[in-house]
Amino acid sequence: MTLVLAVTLAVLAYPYLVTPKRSGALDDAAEELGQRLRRSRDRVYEEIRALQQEYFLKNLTEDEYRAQLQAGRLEAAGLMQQQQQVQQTLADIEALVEEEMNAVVEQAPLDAAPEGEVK
Amino acid sequence: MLLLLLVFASLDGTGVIHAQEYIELTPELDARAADLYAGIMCPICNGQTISQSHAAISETMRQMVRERLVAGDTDAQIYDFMTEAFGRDILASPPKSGIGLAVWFVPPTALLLGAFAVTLFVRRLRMADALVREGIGTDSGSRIGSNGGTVDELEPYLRLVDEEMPDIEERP
Amino acid sequence: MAELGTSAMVIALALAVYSGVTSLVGVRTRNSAMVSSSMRATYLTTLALGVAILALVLAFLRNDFALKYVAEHSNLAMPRIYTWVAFYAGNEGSLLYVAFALAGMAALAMYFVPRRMGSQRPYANFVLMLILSFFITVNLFMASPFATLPVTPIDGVGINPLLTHPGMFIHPPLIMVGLIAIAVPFALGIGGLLSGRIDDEWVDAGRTWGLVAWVLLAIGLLLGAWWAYTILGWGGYWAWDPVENAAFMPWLALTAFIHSIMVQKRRGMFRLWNIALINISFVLGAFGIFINRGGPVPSVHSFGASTLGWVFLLFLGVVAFASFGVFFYRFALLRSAGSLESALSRESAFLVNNLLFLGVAFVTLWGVVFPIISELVLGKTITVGKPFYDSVNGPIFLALIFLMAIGPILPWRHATWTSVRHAILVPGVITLIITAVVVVFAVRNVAAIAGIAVSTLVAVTIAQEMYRGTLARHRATRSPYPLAFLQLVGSNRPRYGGYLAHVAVVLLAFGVVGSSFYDLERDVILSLGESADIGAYTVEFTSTDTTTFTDRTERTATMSVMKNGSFVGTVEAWHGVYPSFNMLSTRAGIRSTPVEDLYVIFSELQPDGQAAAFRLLVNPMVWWMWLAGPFVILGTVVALWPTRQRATAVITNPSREGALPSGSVS
Repeated sequence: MTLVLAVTLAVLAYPYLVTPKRSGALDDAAEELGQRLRRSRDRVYEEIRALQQEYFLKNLTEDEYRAQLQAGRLEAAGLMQQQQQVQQTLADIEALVEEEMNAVVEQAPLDAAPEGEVK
Repeated sequence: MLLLLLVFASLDGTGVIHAQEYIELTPELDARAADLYAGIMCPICNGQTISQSHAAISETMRQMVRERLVAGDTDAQIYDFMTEAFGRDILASPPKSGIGLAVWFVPPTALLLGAFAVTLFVRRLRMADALVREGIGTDSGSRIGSNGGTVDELEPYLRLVDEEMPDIEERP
Repeated sequence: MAELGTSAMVIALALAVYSGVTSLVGVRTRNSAMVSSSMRATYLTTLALGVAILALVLAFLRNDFALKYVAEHSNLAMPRIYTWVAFYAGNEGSLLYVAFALAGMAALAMYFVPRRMGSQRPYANFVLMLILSFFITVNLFMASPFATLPVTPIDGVGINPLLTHPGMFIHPPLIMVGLIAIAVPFALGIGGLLSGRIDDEWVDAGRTWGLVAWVLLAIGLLLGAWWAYTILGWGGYWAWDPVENAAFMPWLALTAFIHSIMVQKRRGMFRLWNIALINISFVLGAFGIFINRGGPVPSVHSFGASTLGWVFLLFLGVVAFASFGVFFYRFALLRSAGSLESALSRESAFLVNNLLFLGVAFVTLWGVVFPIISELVLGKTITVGKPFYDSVNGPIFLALIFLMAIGPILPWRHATWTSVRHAILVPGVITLIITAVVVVFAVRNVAAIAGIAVSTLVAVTIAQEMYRGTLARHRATRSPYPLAFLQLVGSNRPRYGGYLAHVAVVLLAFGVVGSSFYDLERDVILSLGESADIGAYTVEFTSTDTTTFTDRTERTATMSVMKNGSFVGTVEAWHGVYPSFNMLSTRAGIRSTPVEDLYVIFSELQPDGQAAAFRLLVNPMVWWMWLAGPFVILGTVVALWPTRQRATAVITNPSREGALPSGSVS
């Protein structure tokens, strides 16, 4: 019984003791947003595929099909643009941070103990 | 209840009806009997009708129904006969009068209310859509090319989209 | 065994509480280590409860009658194979089973929920562990299967004879698992609301688990009908009994849910409504659990009559209150994304679908609850029986079947009358022809005609689409027809899986129409050698056989069957008397063909031993109903079969040089 309890506690305690490497919060957020946009785009593609199927099954008239197809394409393109913008913003911020860090490092080579890490 | 005692008096202790006394029916009466059995509850059988229950009293009651059928009663008269003998609770379905009426009345009313609600909902959604189309309303994510950017801006992306799009597999 | 079982349950409870608490605290303090630990605790609860189950099973196998539960539900004479059935035959054992099933599903759900659901996951876990803790607590403190008797009896009471049938191995456990499975999509939805971040991400997981609960209940209900048909011996398969209804109502709500969740998946709409719907489903599930375990309505199912009714009524109340509390609290989060362009569209069709399914659920609920209300308010019980449900729900089902034909033809967003006309023309004409033929062949009952007509319409529309789709694919890819068909099904699994389930419904519909309107029934008394006519059959009572066992007396009556004058076979009707249970159990002798069943019940042997009472029935089309089961399973499997994930393209910025990492992997 004690063995069982010990093993159980060990299993439960494991995550507290072994902390995984944490990537920067900013990266996480951007990555997540990018993924969401990607998934939205995939959903639009799904819709387009279903649309094509409906059309070939003759459930949809030619005009309707063309109109909805165009709307779908525009939407996917818009999402792609958004995703690209997010990536761009992230790249810009990273570049800015690099610049700042370099500036700080240049300015304080001979000072006493350096400041804490710039996160 | 007197009737009940009389009926029981004609059976032996186990409640089984002797073959000689068992009333057989013609096919037409059989069909009516089946419906009648399904409409009368067995009083002690945990919610079963006399059609479902194998209990002795259930058998007795079925015999009573058969008697009445052979005697030429209509379905309504047979139900009346059984309720006189056993009480109103014996019916499987609420009568369409008095409090029973509420049982029958509520479902269609609820459905109509529901249909009304759905109609209102559809109209509201369609109005929202109409407003968006006219450029007046805000649309929290409508799919019609509203995700920022004019068509010109999106041109280069459109080409990429076409490349990425699922294959059009079923061209005629 | 008792100590092992009890300790395992105590550990399981501790784990469940720990998991729930740490999930909640961890997600609110953004402590991912804590959340990770809580998930591990969830996985471990399954293990702990599994040990408890093992302990109980071993106690049965070893005839450990010191345990009250074992003594009540088995005896030395019971064949070992029925241990599984004895296990859940009473309240205590079945609660343990339900707790285990919930723990297992919670573990699976949490393990497979994608990372992207972020904080919804620990909130969902919190809800699940809350529910699990409730069940374990009740099980441990109020209905423990490991309670011991002061004096160990030499032999037990034995298993309820009604349970010794193959259907009983699966039907009750499936229903129990199905009802509790609703907790998973419910927790995902509520978890999302609690996290404050509900959007369309929960749709995939919600749909998957909704379908799991749905198929479990569907098969459980079908098996129940099959068992009632072959065992209860009254010739029917569905009595609108309160316990049957209690499992049927959540199934109806789930059916509405799995349809309207597709609208959210495709168009981002009905977000609010889907949460409300899963709430309703779970509340009905809790109501089902309440009715099953000491509910106030008499039923042939009265299951291990228990005094725990109030506990589950309380559970029901808390669930209803909490779920809708959270719903209204987070109301603002749930604005819908898309808008409806046309009243004639698939979205609208799904709305009508929801209305009708909830309509049936409401009617059924009304019928179950009215006697309770009338008892409380007026002091008299008004029985609401089969005739009520049949006449009120019948037309609604008819409308639903008609919708099954129309709905799939309507495209999303906007359908035109031209396209609808085009799609429905051929099936409509074929249906009219078939219906006309059927009417000529002496089907005169209006309801039956309507039922046949709409069912045929559905069948033909499905066939039409399969045909057109396969043809188009064959032309495009030059694949042979069978392959083209499989590719078609694979190309849109939710749709075609759905069609298979619709086919199952059509099969059920034909069976119901046939057996409800064209059945024949006769009660007769036959002496040995005598025969009776029913329909085109002549049934002769040829011989009888009596065997006495320690716990029962069995009698078999062999009947020889002739159809239209020629001999077609024999059936055996069986009948057992269990003195210690004061119970009579029957097994009908059934001769089943796709056209009709000949059904013989051996009711009573006359005291003189020479003659016996029989009920004879001819039930048309029942065979088709059991075929629905495999179709439902197949349809669900196809609908849930995962599609290959799309590989992510790197997005090249079209107006600047160089490719930027898209940073996303599907």
